[in-house]
Amino acid sequence: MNYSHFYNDYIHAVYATPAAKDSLAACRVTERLPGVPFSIVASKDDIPEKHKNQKTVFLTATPGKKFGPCPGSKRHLCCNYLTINLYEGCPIGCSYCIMQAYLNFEPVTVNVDIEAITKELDEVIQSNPDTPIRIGTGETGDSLFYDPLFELSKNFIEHCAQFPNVYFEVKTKSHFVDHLLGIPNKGKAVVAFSLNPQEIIDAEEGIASSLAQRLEAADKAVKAGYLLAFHFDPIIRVKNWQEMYLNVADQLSQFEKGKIVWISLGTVRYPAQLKDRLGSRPWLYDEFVPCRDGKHRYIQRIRTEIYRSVAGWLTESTGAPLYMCMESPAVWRRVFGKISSKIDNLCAIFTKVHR
Amino acid sequence: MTISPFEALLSMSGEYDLFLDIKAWPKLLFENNLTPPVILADDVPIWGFSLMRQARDIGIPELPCMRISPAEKKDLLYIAIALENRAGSYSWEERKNILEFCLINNIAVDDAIIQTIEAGRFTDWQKKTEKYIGFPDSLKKLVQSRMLDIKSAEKIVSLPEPCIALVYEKKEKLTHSERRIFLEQLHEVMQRDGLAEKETSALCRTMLDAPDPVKLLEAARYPNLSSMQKEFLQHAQLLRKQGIALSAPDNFEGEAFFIRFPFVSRQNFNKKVNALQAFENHIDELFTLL
Ligand code: SF4
Repeated sequence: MNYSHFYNDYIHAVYATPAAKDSLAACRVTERLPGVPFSIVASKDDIPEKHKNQKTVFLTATPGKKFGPCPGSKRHLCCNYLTINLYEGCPIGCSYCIMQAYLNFEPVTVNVDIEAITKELDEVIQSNPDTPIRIGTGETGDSLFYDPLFELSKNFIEHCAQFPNVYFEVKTKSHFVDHLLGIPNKGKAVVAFSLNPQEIIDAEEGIASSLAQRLEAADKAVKAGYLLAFHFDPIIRVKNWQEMYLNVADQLSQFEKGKIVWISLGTVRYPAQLKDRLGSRPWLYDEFVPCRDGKHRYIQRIRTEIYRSVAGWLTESTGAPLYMCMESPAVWRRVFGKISSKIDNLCAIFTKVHR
Repeated sequence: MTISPFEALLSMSGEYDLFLDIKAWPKLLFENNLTPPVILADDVPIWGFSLMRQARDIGIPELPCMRISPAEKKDLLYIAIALENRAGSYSWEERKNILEFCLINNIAVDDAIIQTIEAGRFTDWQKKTEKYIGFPDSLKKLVQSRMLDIKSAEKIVSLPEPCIALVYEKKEKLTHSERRIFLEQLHEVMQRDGLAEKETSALCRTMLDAPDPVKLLEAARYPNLSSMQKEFLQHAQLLRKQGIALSAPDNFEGEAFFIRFPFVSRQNFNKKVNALQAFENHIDELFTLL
């Protein structure tokens, strides 16, 4: 990858705390982006106003919880996912991104203190030796957009590979997997792609890679020995959504059965107080209702119809375990006939991890 | 010192005539020369336009006046705003006047000026005021008359002017919050359905002519939800006739319906149970709502 050529467009300044300035990630960025100014600051607050935007990267090794359970959603079924806040912030610019609304004027934070995070992680893994554990870095930003530059995922993949019960998942809307392909010991590492029909990618997903690029990257990853996952989240009910999503589902049949460890589904949603910040996207003019966790979603009956259709197509094309992200027990019962804990092939995903 | 006649001053261009005639000064104060003085700098009135207009209207021939030394326009503006002394309660039209004064005279709208106008923090003052300036007249009128807040006005700015004028004209049909919801939903329907100006205006008129415009428009904005509500009401009415209350989860978000009924005797209880048994025929239809 020609780093300076690509990342120069997305990174205009790099700041690092004194503790992060000599990290491997800092060395890589100074070496690979020689033209981008690199400065030391005591904290994020000290970044000059003109650089408080998403074209600035802030490297930090400040202690603090960087690892924990995914916050889930009140009164909705949680999949007991553990998240590492490796990259906080994202330049992709999806129209529906709630984080965008919060973090627009924030530099992208990269937590470079891998050792500290790994230590926290080990404690959890050791107290759950027989429980399937899913850990991912894609909750606070795209796992792989900056990763070719900083190469931080590699550490976690290699580390987690020692534990047969740990699935370490990187989740992306990019196609940047090449730097991960040569890692010799991958264990149960999962390379996951968020997918949407190309029409929706074009309209809503900023500078994300195309569907074809993502699927090609998935193919490379699986051939290199990774497990795969796909996230249909958010599913947006646009005109002809059935044809569009069926078409994407069909394309997943190219992957060997068993290599896709899970597929998640989630219809588009937003907290009421952020509606204004989402601007005037056409999908916002659909019918949304407030749900019990305070987020607005399509009417339950419509969501159920969407999930049933998409789940049906995906089951047919992949046979992979499916789950819904942040959905109510009512919707689970209507779509799958039961709630997650009662579905056999979801045990690995929904078993509670003790902390 | 007094000025007289001040007609001449009033007919001058009135560069500093920035404020609306908000305060009504009692006649007695005029008659006894007890009003604050009109302020002049270089023979140009800086503050006191409202006083002069009121004096003229009630036939007072002269007013107290004070001359100050000529100063930078920015300082004179501060003086005018400080004397007006209504921080936090200026209307958008007044904010517009102040901003336009600053822009014409190359005065930077800094925090110090904003604080004299707004009494405390006010983010994006200039941006918001510029937005107000860019509104069509009908929308300005709605905001200026406090019938719509600026934030909601921003959202619906692309609604055709006739719609906004109509909402103003029929102001008694909607409360403040109903008006906001009405305009926002009208805007959303227009965007969703790609309605042209004529169609949107016709829709607006139909809605406002209806006895309950908000409800009618809500049905247009949320067609699925409102038809579900209608369907549910039909079921609920069947039971209500038998003294049984049927309720659904809010917005049909959930998995259970509830029934509740009082019973006063075995006979009465049996009657309700029979009614429920008869209602069983509708159960499947009911569950399609969830
Ligand atoms: S890729 Fe994810 S984090 Fe980045 S903008 Fe899109 S939704 Fe937000």
